[in-house]
Amino acid sequence: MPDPHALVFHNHHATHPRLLDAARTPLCIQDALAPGLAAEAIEALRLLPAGPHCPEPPHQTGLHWRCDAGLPSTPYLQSLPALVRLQRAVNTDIPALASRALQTPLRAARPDVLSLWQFNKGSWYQDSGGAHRYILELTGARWPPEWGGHRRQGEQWVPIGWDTLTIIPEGEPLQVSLVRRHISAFFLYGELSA
Amino acid sequence: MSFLHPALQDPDNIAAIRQAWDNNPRLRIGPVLADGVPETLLEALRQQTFQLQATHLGEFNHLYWVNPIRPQDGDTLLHRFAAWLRQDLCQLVADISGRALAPTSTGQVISTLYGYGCYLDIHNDGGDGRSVAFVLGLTPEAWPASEGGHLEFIDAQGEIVEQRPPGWNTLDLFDVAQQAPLHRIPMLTAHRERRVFSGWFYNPHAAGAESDSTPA
Repeated sequence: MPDPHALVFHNHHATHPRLLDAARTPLCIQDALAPGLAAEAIEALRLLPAGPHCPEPPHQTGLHWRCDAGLPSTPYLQSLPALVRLQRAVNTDIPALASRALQTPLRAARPDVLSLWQFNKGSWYQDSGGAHRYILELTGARWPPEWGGHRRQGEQWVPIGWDTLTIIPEGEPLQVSLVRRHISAFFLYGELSA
Repeated sequence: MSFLHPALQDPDNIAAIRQAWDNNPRLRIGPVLADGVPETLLEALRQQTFQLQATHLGEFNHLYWVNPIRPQDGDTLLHRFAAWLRQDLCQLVADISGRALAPTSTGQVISTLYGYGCYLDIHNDGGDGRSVAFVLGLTPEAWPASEGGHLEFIDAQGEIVEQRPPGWNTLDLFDVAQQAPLHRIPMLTAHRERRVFSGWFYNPHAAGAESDSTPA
């Protein structure tokens, strides 16, 4: 008798097929997810109960809305397929890509957890660097940099993109500028460990 | 301990302020607290844990930190000050406005902190039996309005008609029963601390629920 899970939760890669053979992956990958998955994923992620997350001033390193959604290691049949495929990306595919890009074996520091970060009016973030990590950017709209919600990349502020995977090497800071308008930027955040 | 500045214990001064209120029920008074009190309160507030209040998808939105204090929950300086605010300050504002006033029935006093990124979108405070809004300023630092954090009054066309910088030992009062002016706190875009006690005094005879949810 066939495994009923296989009807829904096939084990296809959640990242785009063209990334499978890349010998060395760039640190910023556009169209990172399998075709269509980003669109499905953001609709599912918007349903998560994100709440404000920040240390109290004056020790703040940022303020954003966040939901850390723990998923069962064996997916339920009623789980949203997009979230299950994201789980595969977080647990397996993104760590594999990052391992190739950074040329060191890496795994998800928190497997089975989708950490959604949302930047609304008043949100910002600034740290001074940490472990190897990534953000999977899922922001469809674009706006001018003076509205905030842009990510620091070198000397520039760049929009948080759509279906874009950015791998942040150990020690590199992550900064998102203060959001000054009623707009929302989204990404999934994950840390990687050796 | 008397928290009130001696100048506001002089009936002649209160009469003069009452006249100013009658001419324009949107005042800033200062100094309001006795010498040394603002510094002591500020130090005590900086030891407190504040909770974030934030909405981003409501009819109007806000993001700031609050520390509710219930006088009956303790006997620290802040508890005693909260009790004074609910009784003596309420009476002072009643004398100035010529209105019968009562503190909020929730029994608490709200201290708010605006830090980097904090804001209060445009709204009026009308309804719920609110009569006079108050903002007791405990912000020692001054900064330009371009960095946000000032109290702005807005006319019906959306134009700014008045900007009030955060005050130190000041008491802002404005009528929210008859005029209920539109106002807001624009986002603080610099690392500053705007600290106030704020809320409303109520018409004790008005029907309807009251709320402490959105003090300026």
